[in-house]
Amino acid sequence: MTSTYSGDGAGLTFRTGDLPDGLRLAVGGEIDFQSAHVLRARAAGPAADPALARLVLDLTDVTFCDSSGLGALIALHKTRAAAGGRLELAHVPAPLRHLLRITNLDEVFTLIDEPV
Amino acid sequence: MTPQEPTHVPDPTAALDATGGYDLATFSLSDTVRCGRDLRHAARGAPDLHSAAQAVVDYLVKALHGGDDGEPSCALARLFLTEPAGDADAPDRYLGLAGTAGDVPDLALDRYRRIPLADVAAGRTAPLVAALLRELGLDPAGILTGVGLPSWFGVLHVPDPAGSPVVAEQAFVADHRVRSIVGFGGALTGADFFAVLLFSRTPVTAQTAELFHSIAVNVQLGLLEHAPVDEPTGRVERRLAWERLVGAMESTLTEQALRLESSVTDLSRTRDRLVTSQHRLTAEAELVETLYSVGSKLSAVLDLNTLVQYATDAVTRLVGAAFGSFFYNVTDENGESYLLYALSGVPRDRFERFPMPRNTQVFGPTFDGTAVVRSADIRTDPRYGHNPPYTGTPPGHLPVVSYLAVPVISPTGVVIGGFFLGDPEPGRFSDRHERIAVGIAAQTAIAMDNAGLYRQQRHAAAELQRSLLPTLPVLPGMTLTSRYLPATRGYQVGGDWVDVIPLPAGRTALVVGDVMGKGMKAAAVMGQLRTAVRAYAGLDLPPAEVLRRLDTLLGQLPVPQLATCVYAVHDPLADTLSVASAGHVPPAVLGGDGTVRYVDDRLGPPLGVGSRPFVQRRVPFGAGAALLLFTDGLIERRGQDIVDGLSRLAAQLAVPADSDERLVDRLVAAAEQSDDTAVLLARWRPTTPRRTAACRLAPSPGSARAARRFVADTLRAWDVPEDLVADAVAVADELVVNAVRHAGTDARLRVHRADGRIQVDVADHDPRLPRRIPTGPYDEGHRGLQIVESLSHRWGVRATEDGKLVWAELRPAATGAAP
Repeated sequence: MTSTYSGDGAGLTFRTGDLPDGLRLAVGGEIDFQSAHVLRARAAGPAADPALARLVLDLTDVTFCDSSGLGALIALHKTRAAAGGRLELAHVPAPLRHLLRITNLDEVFTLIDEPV
Repeated sequence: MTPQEPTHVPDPTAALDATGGYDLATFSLSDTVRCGRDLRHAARGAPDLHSAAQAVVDYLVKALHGGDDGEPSCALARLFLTEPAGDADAPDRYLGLAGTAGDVPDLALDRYRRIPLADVAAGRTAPLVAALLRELGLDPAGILTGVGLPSWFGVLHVPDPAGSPVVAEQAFVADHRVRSIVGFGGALTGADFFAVLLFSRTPVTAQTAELFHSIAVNVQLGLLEHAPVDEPTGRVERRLAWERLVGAMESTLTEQALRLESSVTDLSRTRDRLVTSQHRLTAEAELVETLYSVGSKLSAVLDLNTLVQYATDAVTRLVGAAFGSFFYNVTDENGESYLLYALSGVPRDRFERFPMPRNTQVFGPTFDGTAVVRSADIRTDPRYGHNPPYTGTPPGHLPVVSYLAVPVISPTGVVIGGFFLGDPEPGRFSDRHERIAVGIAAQTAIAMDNAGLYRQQRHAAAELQRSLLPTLPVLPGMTLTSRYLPATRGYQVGGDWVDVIPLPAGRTALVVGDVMGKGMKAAAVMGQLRTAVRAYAGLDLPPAEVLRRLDTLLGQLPVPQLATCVYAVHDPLADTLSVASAGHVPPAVLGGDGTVRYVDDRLGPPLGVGSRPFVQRRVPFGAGAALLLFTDGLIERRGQDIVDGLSRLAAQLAVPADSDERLVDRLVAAAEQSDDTAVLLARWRPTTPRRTAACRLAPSPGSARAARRFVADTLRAWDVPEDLVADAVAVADELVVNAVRHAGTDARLRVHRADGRIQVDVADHDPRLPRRIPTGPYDEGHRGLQIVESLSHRWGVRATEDGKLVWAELRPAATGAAP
């Protein structure tokens, strides 16, 4: 089952899908100074939900991410950790992967490439 | 007339006028002959005896003079004649004054007009006449009787009449400065005789007085012409007189000849002595010249190896040795090894098989510096052969028989080494050779000392210069030509420097400076200043601000020091040069069109003076333009002021050159170089077109996205590779976000491309500078500049007139993360 949500502004798109043991949230568009807070707001609920065994953020369609976007991802990671879970980043595009590496955040996040 | 006499009688007075008379001080044999002949003629030509007597004294007064002023020698000349014997009633004989001439012809006439010979004989009167007669061998009886007269003539010499007992007229002698008296006389016929007295102001030597013998005989002959004679007696008298004349001349000639011969002998001895001493002097001069020549050559050689070889060759050649060597006084732990350094006259391998000279009795004095060792045959020297196992030179050694060894001792008393000279023949080295060797050793010691000092100083100075002078960077589009020339005299390093510092946005700082003073201190201050300039350039401070800070820095040094400096920044985006100067000679801007302009208005004060602000000027600097920075050594000339120097330099710059290298070489060649000179010519000739694009952004969240579009579109249009575009977009995003978030003012975004590099800069109106804040893994912010730093080759921020500018430069090679 896949449901599609249109973003509530700043060009981001979100799609959610159920996983056997959790939730998959697909993000699309440019995560920047203008849009990062939208991602933060949209993902904060699932991230804080201790009932979810898994939370996978599918970044396949992220065309740009800057330091503001990284800030949003870290915030979600911390929220998730506080809820006793972890945030998985799936299908991170090469530019974002590079960004994570140069900011040493690739150690912080769990990156997965298998289809979810 | 007598048959013996020549018929032609020249007028003696006329002859006198022609000859100018005779100098009694230098009265010679030839003078004697001519003067005697004239007197004879004067007497003979007179009408009677008494006239003849007067003619003789007249002639003597007129003919004899003394010295250069020609003053007549005779203060008084008198001729006395015996009066004919009287009859039986009047048997007394008299001497009558027959001629008198001079200053006071009438002197004491009463006393001398008619002198009784009895009084003369008894010494009662006319002591001079008495002395003359005695000198001629007449005793008092003879004077009275005339017995013993017939064949005499003679001369009386009173060399110093003042106070003489035979001179009665002392007042006259004193008043008329009479210095000598000469008397002469002789027999006439029968018992008659004549006597002449000359009171001479010219001192008459004994030798000159001797010459008056022939004068006497000539006067005698002249007077005899008038003597009352019976014919046979007269003839005899005249013949006798001629014989006497010849005899007198012969004796005079003999004496003169002997004197001449003895003079010649003396002369030849003197000449031999002269020649000998001349030889000695020439030899000395040659020695001195040789040593001087060797010495001056040595002192010009500053390379130690060359110096030692030259000295060894010179000493070997000059002492005529078959071979010579120089050994350094380098001892090993056993104190026994000396280092062979130079060899002359034989190939080096002749020596290599032998042990070095050892501390033997023969070598000891040389290496101790205690003595020169010279031996005609070293094999017989008692010091030879005391170095077991050797007894003398080792087999196969050079055949040393004649031996000369001279220590080379430095001015500070250190025995540097020694010259060892040898020859297979015995007795080759003389005292002179030893002196040459000692002389060259002394010169060598000084030259070696100098060379050593020079090498040390030169080395230190060169080392320092190398460490302080910049390696010019390679900058795209900027051709840099620089020269550093130490002053032609001296070895002290100067405080001049030039520097080129790449700045962001393709800009370049061009620097020239000059610390006043010389030597290590100036160089050290120069080093500090240069480092400071680089540090301030790193902060990308405006030129006037760089100088202000340098001024403060220099003022804080413990020892006050002044310096001048020009700091110029080339901005290729604006085609300008921003220049500030602190009391430095004005830099010249060469336009691409060949114009030459000095940036010389409103020079700031030198650094280290303090207080006043520095002025910054902006001058056009387009493609093809060049900036010439230099220190005053380039234009300084003795006796000319700086304005002349600048005019001359401008004229030289106006002449086109094939290349900047040639141009700078020409400038440097024209410099007098009495001072250190640093020159830097920076020519701007962009190799690839530089592209720039800019856009304005409002302080709103959407500006970041707009900026990304602008950068991506622009760079893609410039055919920039996609990975570089992505990085530039990311960098631009972060910079704009910073401006939007922190400054909250309008911003200007620019992108430039030149030589494959991309620069992105964002200018806003907030003077606060961004800081890079360290982040932890769970920090949500402060990653923007971390990303900029990672993606760009370098980045920075600089203050602008109304805010700040943050920039980042990206290069293809720098793309991607650090390994």
